[in-house]
Amino acid sequence: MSRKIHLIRRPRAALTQGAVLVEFVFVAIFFLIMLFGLIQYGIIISSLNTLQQVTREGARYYSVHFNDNNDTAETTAYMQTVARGSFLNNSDISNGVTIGAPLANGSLQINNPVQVTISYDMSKRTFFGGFVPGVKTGTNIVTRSTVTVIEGSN
Amino acid sequence: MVLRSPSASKKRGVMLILTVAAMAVTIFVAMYGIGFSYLNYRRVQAQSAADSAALAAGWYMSNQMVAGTDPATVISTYATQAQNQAVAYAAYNGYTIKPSDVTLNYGSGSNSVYQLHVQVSRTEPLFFGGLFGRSNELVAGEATVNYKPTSNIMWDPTWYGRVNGPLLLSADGPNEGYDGGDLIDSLATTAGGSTPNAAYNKLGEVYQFNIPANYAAMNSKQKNPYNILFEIYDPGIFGKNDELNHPASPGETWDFSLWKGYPRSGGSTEITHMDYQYGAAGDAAIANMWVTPNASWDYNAQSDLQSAGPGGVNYYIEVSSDSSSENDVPGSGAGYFKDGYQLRAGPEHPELVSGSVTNAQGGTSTIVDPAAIDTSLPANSPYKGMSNDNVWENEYGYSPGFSGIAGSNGISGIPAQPKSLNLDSNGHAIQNGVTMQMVEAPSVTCVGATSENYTTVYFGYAPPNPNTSKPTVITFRGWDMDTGAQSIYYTCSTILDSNGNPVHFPGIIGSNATWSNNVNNTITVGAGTPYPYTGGVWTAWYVTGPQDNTTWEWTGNTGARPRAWLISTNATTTSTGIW
Repeated sequence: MSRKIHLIRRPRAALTQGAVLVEFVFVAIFFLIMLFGLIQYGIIISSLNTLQQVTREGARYYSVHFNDNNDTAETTAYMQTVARGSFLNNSDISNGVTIGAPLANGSLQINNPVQVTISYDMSKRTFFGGFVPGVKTGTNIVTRSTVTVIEGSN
Repeated sequence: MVLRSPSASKKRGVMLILTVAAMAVTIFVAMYGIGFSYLNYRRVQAQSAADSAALAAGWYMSNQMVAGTDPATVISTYATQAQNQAVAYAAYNGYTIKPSDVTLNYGSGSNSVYQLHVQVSRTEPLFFGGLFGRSNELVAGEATVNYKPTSNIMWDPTWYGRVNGPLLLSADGPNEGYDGGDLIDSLATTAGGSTPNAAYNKLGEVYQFNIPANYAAMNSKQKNPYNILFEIYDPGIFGKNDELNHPASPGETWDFSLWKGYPRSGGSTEITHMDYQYGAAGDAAIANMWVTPNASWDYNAQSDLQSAGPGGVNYYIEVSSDSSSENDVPGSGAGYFKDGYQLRAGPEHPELVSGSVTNAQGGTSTIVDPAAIDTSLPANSPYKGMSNDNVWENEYGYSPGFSGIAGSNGISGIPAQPKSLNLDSNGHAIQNGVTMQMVEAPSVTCVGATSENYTTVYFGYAPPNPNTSKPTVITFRGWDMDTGAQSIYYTCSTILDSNGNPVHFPGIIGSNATWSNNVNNTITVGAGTPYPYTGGVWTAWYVTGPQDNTTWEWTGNTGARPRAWLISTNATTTSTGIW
């Protein structure tokens, strides 16, 4: 009787263990995709936030430091300090900053608008793009800008 | 009783349900997290746009609030323009807002600080919202800005000759009432109406004359070296057309009072005063004349000077009226009758006196016709054949160039250029030791050229930015330079090219019934520019139009920026300290 029971149970246990393994693999893949996807999207959105914030701060800094001896360089350096601690690194920010007039025939002078733009290759912050749905792989230039009025320096 | 575990098949069913449920929860959390993060990102964008819009509006309003203006009047006058600024800057940043999204008079500022508030919003698409029947979400940002008035440079000085060509000092702005752009207006009503002008200064405009302690020694060749002759140009009052063309008679009364010490302050003494009423007896005779109201205005300062310290003595002339430049005939809409006057003081110059006239308000005034020639001078006089004003120029160093005067009906021709500016280290005008500066009313009016006229406007001395590592930024604004005015540029006495000539800083003429665009008339010198600057005297040069009646003002930076700054936000972004 006991032998019979043993013969019956062994195949069922083996089958169960295999099924659990398969199920675990599927579930694990799903959850890993979800996990890394969340991490990846978090990094991207955080980076977008930082880019926007950096341009805003840069525009304001330029506004009140316009006509300093090195207003453009000062502004770029300030934008780097704003981005410090974020997912973005300083060299990427310094290389991607452009400061100019938003209007076609505009010029940078007090009371005029200034547009501070930053271009950033988001692929530098894409770690799981290969298997996270919706995340681009390869070069992915993201541009963010802020326009504000130039007040002039002290 | 024996407890049995569920069968394997039942276990698998439970696991499946649990797994599916967990996946659903995970997916939901992921969608929520991504969607929420995305909306938050959009909120940062909205905040950025709101900040820019509010700062632009605040900065604009700050620029309108120059010294001597009533803030409430400025806010109401320029509300639309400020709102438009906010709308424009919101648009620059991708947001469409309405003027009503900009709230002026927001909150209560203190210590001459004012507030406005801007809200921007935009509908943003959701990634996964469609699954829940919501495909988009309205995301808003708000910003509140403090702003404070700009720092105005006083007209310094408003001295005879400091405004060249067809220009007169004016107690009034150019428009029909204070609400049309007049920063300083002695009138207490709107155009043709009765709304009080909050900026109305009942005490009038005050001009200071500093008499140095060694004044008598400087004028020792004079018969009365201690005497100071105070003169008023055309106290009647009006511009080139003056009493000749005014539509109604009599008109307003103007009061000129001479004070030792600041008028109506503790310890001050009124030496004398004189009223003049347009159209009253004797008024026509003083049109376009220099007038010494009576003998008291040829003031003997001996006792004052002998008891004065090294700084000498300050005398003041206060000018006030019971009406305005335009509205002495309420509702007449007369258009371009501008009140104006000029003041000067110095040693006696009897050779210039050409007559006297009895004033209905108070005695006999001596008058000087600037264009008249003193035929009684001996043949060997150095001034033989010269006009009174040319005599003044040779005698006292500077002429406003009234050489173009033709009779008494106006000013025409190209004015003579100045021989010297006669300024002290602060840019105050000096003539024979007397220093004059304006202590109130930082505007001046250009009155009625009859045809195109080359005009110079002497703004006076602008100090450098106290922060020497920063540039000095000077903004000029002119009101209502319409109908033929052209070709304006600015020069500074201390900024010269390699040939020693003043560098021309070009500007752009304003249009009818508006202030000229300060964007186009802002000059940056000093640190970081090709033009070292330690202070200098500024001048505008332009061709007036045939109907030119221009009021001018100017501002400069004093190391006090930013003048508009964010004070709080209701959204997520955090300012970093300098805003």
